Amino acid sequence: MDAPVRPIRVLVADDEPHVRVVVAAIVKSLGGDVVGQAGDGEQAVELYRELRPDVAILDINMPKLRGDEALARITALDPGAVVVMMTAQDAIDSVTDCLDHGARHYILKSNRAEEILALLTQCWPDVRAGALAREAA
Amino acid sequence: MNLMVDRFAKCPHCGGPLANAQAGPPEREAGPAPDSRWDIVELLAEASRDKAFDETTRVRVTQQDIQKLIDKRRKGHK
Repeated sequence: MDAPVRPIRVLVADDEPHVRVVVAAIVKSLGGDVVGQAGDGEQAVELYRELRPDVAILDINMPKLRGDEALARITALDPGAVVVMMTAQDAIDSVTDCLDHGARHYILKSNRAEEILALLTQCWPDVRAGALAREAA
Repeated sequence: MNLMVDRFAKCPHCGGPLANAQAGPPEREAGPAPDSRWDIVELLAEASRDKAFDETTRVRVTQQDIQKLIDKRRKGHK
C-alpha cells in the first residue's frame, strides 16, 4: 500500500493581502498547505529559512526586498528550492532574470484566477517531485 | 485701410526711425566651430542606440511566451 501523500507546504509572499488570500485558496484547492505568508521580500527570506517549505510563491514588487532579490537569496540558501514567481511584471528581462536565478515557474498575475489555478496545477508535479527529492536527501 | 508707411514713424522696440528698421532679426555672426559633443550626427546615432536598448528591455511577454521559454530552457538542460 502506498504511503499517504503529505500536503505540499507552501510559503506565499505578496505585499497585497488580498492576493495572498486568493493564492492561499488556490493552494488549498490543490491540496497544499500554506505554512507561511510574507508581506515583503525580507520576511519571505526569513520565513523560508525558518520553515523550509516545499515551494515558495513570490511576488516581485514588494517592499524592503524585491521578490527577484528574495529569490536569489533563497536559492543561495537552498539550491534545490522550488520557487514560483507570481507577478504583474511581464518584461522579458524580468522573466529571464528570475529563471536565471533559479525560479522554476513564472506566472503573470494578469491571468484570470482560473488560469492561475491551471498554471499552478501544471506546476504541481514539479513541486511534488521537489518535495520528494528533499525528503529523500 | 492705408497701407502706406509713415516715414516718420518710430520703431516700437528700439525707438529708431521705422523706415530704417529691418524686417527680420540681424544676421548672426559665424561662431566658433561646433564642439564635437554637439555633433548632431553623433547625437542622432546615440539616440538611436538608446532607443534600441530601451525597446530591448521593454519587450513584453505573454504567459504563452513564458511557458515556451521555460520549456525551451528545460529541453536545453536535458
